[in-house]
Formats: sequence, C-alpha cells, structure tokens
Amino acid sequence: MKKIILIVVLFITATNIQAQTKFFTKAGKITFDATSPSSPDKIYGTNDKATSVIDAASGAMEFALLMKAFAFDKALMQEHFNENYVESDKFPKAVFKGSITNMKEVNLQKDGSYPIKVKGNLTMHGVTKEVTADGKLTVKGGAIVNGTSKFNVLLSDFNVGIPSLVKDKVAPEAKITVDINYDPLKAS
Amino acid sequence: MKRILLTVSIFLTAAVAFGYYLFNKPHSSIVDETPIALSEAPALVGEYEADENSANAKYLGKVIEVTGTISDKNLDEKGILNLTLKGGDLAGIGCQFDKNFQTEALGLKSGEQVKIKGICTGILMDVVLVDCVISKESN
Repeated sequence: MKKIILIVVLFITATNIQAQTKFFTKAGKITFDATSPSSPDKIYGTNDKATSVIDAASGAMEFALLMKAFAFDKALMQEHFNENYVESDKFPKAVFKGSITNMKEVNLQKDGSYPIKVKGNLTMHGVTKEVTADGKLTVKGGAIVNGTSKFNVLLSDFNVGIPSLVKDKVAPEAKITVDINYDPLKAS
Repeated sequence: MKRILLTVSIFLTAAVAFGYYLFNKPHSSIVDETPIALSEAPALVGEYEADENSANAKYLGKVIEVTGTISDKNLDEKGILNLTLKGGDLAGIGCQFDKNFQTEALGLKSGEQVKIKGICTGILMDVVLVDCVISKESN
C-alpha cells in the first residue's frame, strides 16, 4: 500500500515539474513594411522562419530572425534590402531580447486573448536599441498558443541610411508586425 | 538629324524597358543553379556550431546542397512546405521550399533521406535554407 502511495506521489510531482511554462517556435512570421505614400511599389517583406521563446513563469521573451530569410515580391527590392540597406552579409541576424512587463495579468488557466506590453532590446544592423511594443497573447488549454504585435522602428536609429535620391520613396519608419504560433517547449 | 533622333529614341526606349524589366524582375528559381558546396546535414550543422562566423563567410546567401534525414515536415498557412533535416542533438536544418517547385517533395515522409538545394541564410536554432528545391542527381 505504502508503495502505491509513493508511486502516486512521485507521479504527481513528476507531472507537476513537467508543467509547461516555456513556449517556442521556429516558424514565426514577421513582416517589414517601409512603404511611404510616394513609394512606386509596396516595400514589403515577410519572414516565416523567425524563432521565438516565451517563458510564461518570468515573462521573459526572445525572438530572432535571419535577414536573408525576408522575402520580397520583387527580386530587385530584396537585393537592395539585403545589400544596400540592412547589409545582411555583415549583420545576418536581428535579435530581440526582452520581457512581457504585465505577464501577471495573463492567466494561463483561462482561455482568452490578453493585451500585453513588451519591452526589451532590439539588435539589428549592428545597433542595439530599446523598443517597447503593445501586443496580444492568446491562451488556450493552459498554453500560450499565439502572440502578435505591431510596432515601428525608425530606420535611422539602426544606422540604416536611405540615399537622398529615394528619400521620399522609402518610409523613414518601418512598420513591423509579429505573428507567432507557439508550441510547448519539451523539457530536454 | 532625323536618324540621330531615331537612334536616341530607340536607345531611350530600350533603356526604359530594361529599367522596367529590372524593377519587375521576378524571383528566379535556383533549380538550374550549381551549388557552391555539397554537405551532409550533420556536418553542416557541426560547422555552424563550431564557428558561426566562418560558416557564414562560406555559405551565407549562397546556394548549397545538403543530404539528410527528414525529422519534421509541415505546410505553413501559405501552403509552403517546410522540411527539417536531422543535424546535431539540438540544431537541425530548416528548409523552406520554393512554392513553385515543391510538388515532388510533398510526398516525402519523416525518416526519409533527401538531397535538398537551397540558399543558406544562417543559423538561429536551426541552420535555415530558403527557396529550397529537391536536388537532382548531378551530372
């Protein structure tokens, strides 16, 4: 009898330890839009291979992407983006490290969508800057299943220069959208 | 005089047309490109884990061919095929296919061996290749 109780107790503690607090993806979607009212075409790229991790216990979150994995409709635009603007040979990654400052308001036990505030450091093109953004976390079945956010980055903050010839064709501030479906991170 | 004008206008038209063509140039597929390197998936991941900068210097933005075992397969919401090849203990190789050339890869299953050609974009958790196609036997 004692043995059975012991086994049951062990089992319960073991499952508790494995309760999910970390969520991740390797297929996050991040878009970049620097279209200005006088752009001849949409300056819009999508990246479907961003990685991201959220630790629900602490609210810490991170995402990272590879610049060359941005796809633009026009081949020439993609080439210019990589070679002339973000110099992705020299700076292949963009990384955000920060936290969800109001994680306490997100209740993993209750399905729903929660407004969140994110604050952290964005490193891109060799420059690190503090960024704050509003977003939304979706909780379902005790897990974080999706996170979205929209924010703007001033290209000049990251030393991304716009040649004067095309000054009014490229927006000085790029709109970034983040849309990430999360999976539980299996304890390894 | 007329002839000069005619020549100039033909030249200008050609220049504008060429500019327009460049501006709208579609993405070319890498189907016919020769890879700059051939590698086994674990070896490529190993190279990246050992020294990311030197691996990037060799492979970043280049077409490479990788042979490996499929560990994961999924279609994203745009219908683009993503295959993951086994690499090391943690990292693998994430291959995002070129949607126009993924048909023959759709039937592949986890555990199968494949040879994939793609453009190397660096490493995050996995080494990431984009615009991937199934590599034909080289001749």
